[in-house]
Amino acid sequence: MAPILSKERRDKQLIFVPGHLVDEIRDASYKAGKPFNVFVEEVFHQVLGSLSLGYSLEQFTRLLEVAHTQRLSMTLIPLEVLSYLTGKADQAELQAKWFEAGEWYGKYLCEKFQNPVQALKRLLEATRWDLDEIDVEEEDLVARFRCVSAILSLEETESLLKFIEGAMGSLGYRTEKNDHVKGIILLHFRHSKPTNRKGDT
Amino acid sequence: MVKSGYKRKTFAASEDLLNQLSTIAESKGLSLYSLINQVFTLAIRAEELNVNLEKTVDESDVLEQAKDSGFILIPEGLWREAIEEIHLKDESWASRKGFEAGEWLAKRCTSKSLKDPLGTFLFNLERSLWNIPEFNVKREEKRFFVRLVSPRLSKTHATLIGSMLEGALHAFGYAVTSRDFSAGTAWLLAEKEGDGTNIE
Repeated sequence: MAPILSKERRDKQLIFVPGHLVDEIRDASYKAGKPFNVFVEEVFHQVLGSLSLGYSLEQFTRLLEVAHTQRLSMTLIPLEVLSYLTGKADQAELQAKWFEAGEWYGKYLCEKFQNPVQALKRLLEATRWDLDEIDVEEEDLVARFRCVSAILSLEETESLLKFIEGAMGSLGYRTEKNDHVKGIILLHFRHSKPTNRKGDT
Repeated sequence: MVKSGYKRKTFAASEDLLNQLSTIAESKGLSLYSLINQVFTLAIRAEELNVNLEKTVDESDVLEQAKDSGFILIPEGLWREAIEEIHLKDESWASRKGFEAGEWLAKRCTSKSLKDPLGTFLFNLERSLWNIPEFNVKREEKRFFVRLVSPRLSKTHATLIGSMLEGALHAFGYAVTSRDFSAGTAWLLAEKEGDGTNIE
């Protein structure tokens, strides 16, 4: 990869970009403590690097979400150890812990993302590799979750369900319908306080 | 006055970089303008999430490896509470399950055609234990020493991780000759036994 700060003279080319994006990138470069052009070239190099590894920009965006997730106090553990714990723990207490964890993440997502429900979906996609399918639909004040896994036990399914309920509860939703069996979760939520939705006065 | 959001602005960038981006844009059926919009949006998103773009690819590789190795992400606080709760009921669970998990993870590595399966295992494990600030490995021809240090490591957690390492080393053909798993630290010393691994 060519050195970014090389003193070699390079040919430059002018390009057009939407003004608001340039402004935001300029702000980002100030925060990073780098000159605008240096910051932009670094971004180009990094993105080219990821594209050369076969990632699309959409995948790279998802990687950002995943990397961000690491900072959300998550830890990696062997799946079989989690399964063991889930089987041995007092189920009521364990589910209460998952609900509480969900509440915490819900509050965080609400602060950090414009659409925290979709952010929750992305969080699940990024962290719950034991799920084969995750669908989240929103319509007006209603949100529907559908999660499918071939490997989750009933206890693990119920723990995940509690996590989702905790998170959605923090976002102002109440559970309208809860339908689950081993490996399948179907949840319907309705926003209970429409006047408190983000962006409303 | 037209708002900046509706205006285009120009800036100068390296022709070499733009040519590379242009090639990619063409391969995706996009204009260079569209691709750069997406790239800038990505960079802004990284800033919002306080994520380093450069490290993102490396970190994603950690998670891909972890995923392939049978790990999963869970909230750390929940994990810490859960392991202590189980410990109250069964004090031997951490060493037992940790050992089993380590053996299994090691067998995954040895089942692949890796040049250095033990090295790969340790490399991936170190990267997975991102909340353990110190992970030191000293590897000689027939001896092996590993030490983890973290102020947040409970004795149960140290036992779990230490036993996982012990199980893996056993699978790689090492016998642990001494160990200590305590709050804040876990270390073990192992020596190679026989000629090969203990994989059955």
